[in-house]
Amino acid sequence: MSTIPPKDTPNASTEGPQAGASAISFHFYEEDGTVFAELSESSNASQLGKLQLELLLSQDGLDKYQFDEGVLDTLAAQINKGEIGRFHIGNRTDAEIKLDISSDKLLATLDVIPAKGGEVVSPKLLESTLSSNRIMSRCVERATLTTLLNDLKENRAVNQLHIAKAVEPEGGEPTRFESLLKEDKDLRPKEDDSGVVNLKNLRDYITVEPGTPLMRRFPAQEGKAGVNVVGGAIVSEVGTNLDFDLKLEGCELDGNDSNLLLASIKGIPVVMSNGVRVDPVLSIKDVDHATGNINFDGAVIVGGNVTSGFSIECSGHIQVKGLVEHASLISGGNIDIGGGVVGENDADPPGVEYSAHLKAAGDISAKFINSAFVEGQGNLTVKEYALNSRMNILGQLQLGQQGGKGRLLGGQTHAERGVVANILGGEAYVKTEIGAGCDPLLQDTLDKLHSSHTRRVNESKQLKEILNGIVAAGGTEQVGKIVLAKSQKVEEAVAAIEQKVASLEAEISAIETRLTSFNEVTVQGKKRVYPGVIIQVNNGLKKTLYECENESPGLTIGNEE
Amino acid sequence: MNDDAKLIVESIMSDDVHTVTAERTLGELKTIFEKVSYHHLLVENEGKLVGVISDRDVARNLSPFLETSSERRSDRSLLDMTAAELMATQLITVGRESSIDFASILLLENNISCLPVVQENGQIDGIVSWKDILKCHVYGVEP
Repeated sequence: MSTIPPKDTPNASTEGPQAGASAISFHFYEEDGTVFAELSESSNASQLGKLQLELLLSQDGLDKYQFDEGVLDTLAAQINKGEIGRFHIGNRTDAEIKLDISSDKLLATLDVIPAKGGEVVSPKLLESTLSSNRIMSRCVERATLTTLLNDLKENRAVNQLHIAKAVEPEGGEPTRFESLLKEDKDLRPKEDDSGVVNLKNLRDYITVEPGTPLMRRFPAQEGKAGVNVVGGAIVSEVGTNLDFDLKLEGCELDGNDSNLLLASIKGIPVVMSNGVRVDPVLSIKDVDHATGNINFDGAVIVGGNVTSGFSIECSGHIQVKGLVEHASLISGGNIDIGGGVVGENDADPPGVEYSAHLKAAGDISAKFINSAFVEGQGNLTVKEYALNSRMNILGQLQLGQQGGKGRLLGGQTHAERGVVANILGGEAYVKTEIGAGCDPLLQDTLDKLHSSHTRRVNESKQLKEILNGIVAAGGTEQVGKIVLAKSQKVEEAVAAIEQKVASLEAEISAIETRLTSFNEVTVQGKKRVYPGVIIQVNNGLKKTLYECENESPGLTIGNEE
Repeated sequence: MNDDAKLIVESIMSDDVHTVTAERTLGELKTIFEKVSYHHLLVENEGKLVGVISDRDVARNLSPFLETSSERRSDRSLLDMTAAELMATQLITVGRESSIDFASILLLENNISCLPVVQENGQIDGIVSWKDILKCHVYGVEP
């Protein structure tokens, strides 16, 4: 760049070699920060475009200033037309900072236009900008500020920077409920004490006793107020307050702690969002791989089926609305099966192992039973048929007495209180063994009790004879300086034996009474009895054995054939 | 096992019983007692108790000159005596379910040191000695 002419006396400094185009020179005026282009006559000046002008400005160190949009294109046109004169084409500008606060005062946005040859935004200017707008320092993130200061120092543009954000209020904690029950959410099979992993034993169902703590309530808590970018408070919301749902059954509040929920009945706890329901019954759709084996202290209702290979063991009743296939049900109460029981018996010898097993402390009922092992302390009611099963029950076996075919075919059956069926055996003369009356083992038990009774009575006699001798000798014996109360000790031994004798007599009496009660027990085939049926009725000491050789229209076997 | 069940003979008796038949000779019985630590043998016939022989019964019937320079033929012939001739046949027994107190009184008042444990038909179930009972009283029953 040549010597700068005065702004008001333009002077050509560049001459072009080609007629028609102007020569150009640039001048920067420090005092007001303006940039001028000087166009002068020239006979050899070249045609120029915007790019050449930018290059010339760069060579003169003037490209850092602010040039208005299109000014260089206009200047190039003027040059190429050969115009002469001085033209104001640019300015030195300082950086500009602009802060905008949203109408809700939750956000402050900052824009910075970089300096063009002028002053950059200093930290002091930034601080004064923020403070003059009352921006709260707690609303400005340190990391954001650090980045901004670096950008300002480097004279970089900043666009829509969220320089300050409101501190949001912390909402109040709503009421919280915490279950106090140990919930086994791990449904993976577990290893038992013997190191065996049964893939069907997924979990244990928890039961609770009355008074068991179920759930604790933590009351709602107030929140913490926030602040907007200019220091205004933002009110927090109070947490939602909720109470226990006391409409749920089987629970009640602790009398001493209104935030503690207790079980009021024994059952299975079902945890809800704000309470716990205690069901006296465990209800399941099906027993299968989704549930695993069921082991429950209470009653169980299965809405569908019990799938092959699975088991239910519970202290209460079991109700299955569908089928029980190759499965085991063990109940501390009754077993009621809406469908039937299907098993098989491939064991050798036959009759030992069955794939379906029912065991109940009470009554058992089913639509049909096929190849199953059934044990019950109450009655067994079957509507259609019982096939090839081993059934031992202490009550009565009734087949088809409330509708249905009522057939007993194959297998071994013993019902202490007798059997009532419509049909015994089948057209193929299948061997069907039926026992009724007292359990043969009951007589053995009675014999053993009698034997023990006799022996204890003899022991009592022996001791009494010894006691007589001791009493005759004074009843005591001196060992060193100690006097032994021999007669007293022997009397105590006699008393203990006589107490045992009394206990045995009570047991014997109970069994004898029970045996007597079997006098009226019968096995009855009301409509038809087929060959192959073997009936044995043990009415106490009186036994009746009947083997059917000819098809009979109906038969009752009891005390007399 | 409840406490009552622990206070019956079955809970302390030995069921590994050394029995002999009535045909065993004094010489054989002497050899047996020289090898074992207990003092009584039960004499059985088809599993049923018919007598009891103690080591003192055997010693009492042996000649003091046996296996000495003074041994006589008659001394050696004594070794041919049978268990049937030596055994006690006035049997005092208990059953598995007899109380330990009952067994203790029988031992003390009859001045004997062991009791065969038999069933009603005489079938041998075991034997209980005064040592077994003393151990039970001294060391008690594990809860």
